[in-house]
Amino acid sequence: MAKPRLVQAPLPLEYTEQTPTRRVANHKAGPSHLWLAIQFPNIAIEISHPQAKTSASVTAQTVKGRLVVCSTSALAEETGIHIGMAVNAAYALCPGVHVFEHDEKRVANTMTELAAWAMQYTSYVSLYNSNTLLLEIRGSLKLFGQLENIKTSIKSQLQLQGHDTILSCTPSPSASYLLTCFGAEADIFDTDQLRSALGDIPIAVLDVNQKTKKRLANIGTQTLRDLWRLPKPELRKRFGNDFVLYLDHLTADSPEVQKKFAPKATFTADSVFYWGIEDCESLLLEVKKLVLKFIDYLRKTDLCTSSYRFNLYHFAEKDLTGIDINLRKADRDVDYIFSVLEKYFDKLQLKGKIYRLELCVDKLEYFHTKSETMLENTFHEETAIYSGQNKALSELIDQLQNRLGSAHITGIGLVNDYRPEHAYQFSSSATNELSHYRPDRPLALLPEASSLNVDVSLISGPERLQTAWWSENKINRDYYIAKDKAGRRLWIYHDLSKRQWFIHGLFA
Amino acid sequence: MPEPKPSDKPAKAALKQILQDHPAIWQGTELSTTKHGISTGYSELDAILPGAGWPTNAVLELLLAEQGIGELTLFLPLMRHLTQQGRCVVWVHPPFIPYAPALARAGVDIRYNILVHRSSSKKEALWAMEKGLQAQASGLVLAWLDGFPGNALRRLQLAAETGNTLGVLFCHQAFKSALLPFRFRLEPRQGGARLHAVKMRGSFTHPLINLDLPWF
Repeated sequence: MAKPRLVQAPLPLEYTEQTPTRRVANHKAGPSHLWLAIQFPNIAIEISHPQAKTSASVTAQTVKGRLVVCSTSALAEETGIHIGMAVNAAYALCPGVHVFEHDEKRVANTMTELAAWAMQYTSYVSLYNSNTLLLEIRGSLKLFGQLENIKTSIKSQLQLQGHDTILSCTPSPSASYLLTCFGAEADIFDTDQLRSALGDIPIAVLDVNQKTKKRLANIGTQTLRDLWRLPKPELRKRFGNDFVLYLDHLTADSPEVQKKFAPKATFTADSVFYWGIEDCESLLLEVKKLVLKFIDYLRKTDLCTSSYRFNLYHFAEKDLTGIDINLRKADRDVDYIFSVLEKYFDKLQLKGKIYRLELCVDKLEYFHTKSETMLENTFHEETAIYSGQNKALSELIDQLQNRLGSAHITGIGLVNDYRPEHAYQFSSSATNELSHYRPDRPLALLPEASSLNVDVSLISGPERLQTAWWSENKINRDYYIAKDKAGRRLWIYHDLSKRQWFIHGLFA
Repeated sequence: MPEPKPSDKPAKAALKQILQDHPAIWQGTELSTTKHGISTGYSELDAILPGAGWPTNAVLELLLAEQGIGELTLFLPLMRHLTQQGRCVVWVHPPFIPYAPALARAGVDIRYNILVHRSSSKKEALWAMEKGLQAQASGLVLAWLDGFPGNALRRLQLAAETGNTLGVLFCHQAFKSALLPFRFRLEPRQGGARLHAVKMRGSFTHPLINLDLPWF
């Protein structure tokens, strides 16, 4: 009787039930992570201009048609300018204020760079929000000796890069961030200490929406300590699950998942010409300089790429010209890339003076000195004419495709189909072998069969092709080889369903 | 002891060798005896061509009364030979689809075929043809273009010389040009075709031969 019982027990269900409980138990056993939050409070100001930090400066962007202050330098803040203020109001408070454009994309790029930089301290770096990084450093404590070493190293190096920072370290990501927002630099190793350490933080700083903050103020809570005293079920009832979950995250009672930052394999470089460039030759020269720099980088990192993106910024026009150059095969051979670039920039017509040239490459591959197989998958499957083992041929195809466009330059290939008009394709096929026997076929197939209106004499046939009856493209034909008076050898067919004669090809 | 006079025999022999072998030197009506061409695959055609085969660095015109009288079959052995060696065939603006199953059946490695579609402009096609002729990777460029400026033909010929490539222009009979070094006329005939060599560099003769084309 024991055996059937075993069979009846639903194994997968048991499995799914067990996993989460085990995880929670593990988590409660002790804090597995220690999160160091690095906040960059003035990042937008710092990257807008080298002198922005030491003068009264703000960054601004248009919100609902108004130019609004997004971040301020310390000097600007002293004059009474605050975030969210209209720029005109800021000018009224401090006439000498410098206003810079708030470039969110640049901030994000800088944060990504900083995250990549922070990878030297730990392998687990997370971009928490637009100005905060989270580093899991419990695993690194042993290597660096103690937390203080890591913190001083980070602080001094970032100071050199010109960034102000606030560092806080707790077992909970949210708590670390909250402490940095409050401006407190705390080191808390133990989960039990979190409640008391966070107790003094006012409700206004919490990472929750304004409505909740207002309601919390209405019930008379000022700081987190007041909240700790309130019973959780009631809080959940009033403020919802998400809010209580947030509190649990703060006290590390419930685990919080942080997305791991993965450094992107990209390359960006640019050169700026204050004098402006208007002819292709000088542009090509600058392009080559950039590409040389890039190839140097590729050699150092042992990478290569097949797609290049050049952005040309014009003086006159706001929009930039983007140029995509795709090679058939990832390569880093200078002469080869230059020859392709020359062909491309040779025919380029510039829209106006160019002041900035940018090279972006976001698809980097590992460099292989040898291609693995004959049938290697090239980057554009539909335009891959054939698998590149012959470099000279690859170069020729690249040159042609980059100038004429890949739609106009293709290969030819076989398709395994009995219907003559479907037995070829305009891209390379994996095989050169005919999969099944095909009798005489003409070398030249007409793009569309034309009706036969000349006198012909039949030479051989018929060959009946009757297939694809299940689809719309069914064929029901008798093919013949025929000869007309002009001496042409034609491939003609009699359409059995339409009862008409057509020419389909030439034995040229 | 007087030094023996150096015999002028070896020098004469060397000179004779050069006169005989150099493809650019003609000796009256005699063909140079070296085989610097690529075999056409048709013995009767090899016999009349200077270099005993298709020239490897020239553009030739093939005049046709009609399409479909064996003009591709004429070059099929050459295509087979080149693609098997890993050199490619470039098709510029063919008025039909080069039919892959037929080519594969004839032994042409179809992976070594580049097709310049008719959707591209004529100027681009000429450019592509020039590039194809210049490239070492290609061995044969087949083009269906008509109406050239004279200097274009000259450029194509120079490109063919740099790339050691044979270019073939399929033209209508009425096409007149005297700029290219080779000019043939192909006419249909019972069981094959008749090829008339109108003009050949390296030969003063204008032979007319009958070819038996294997129909693929």
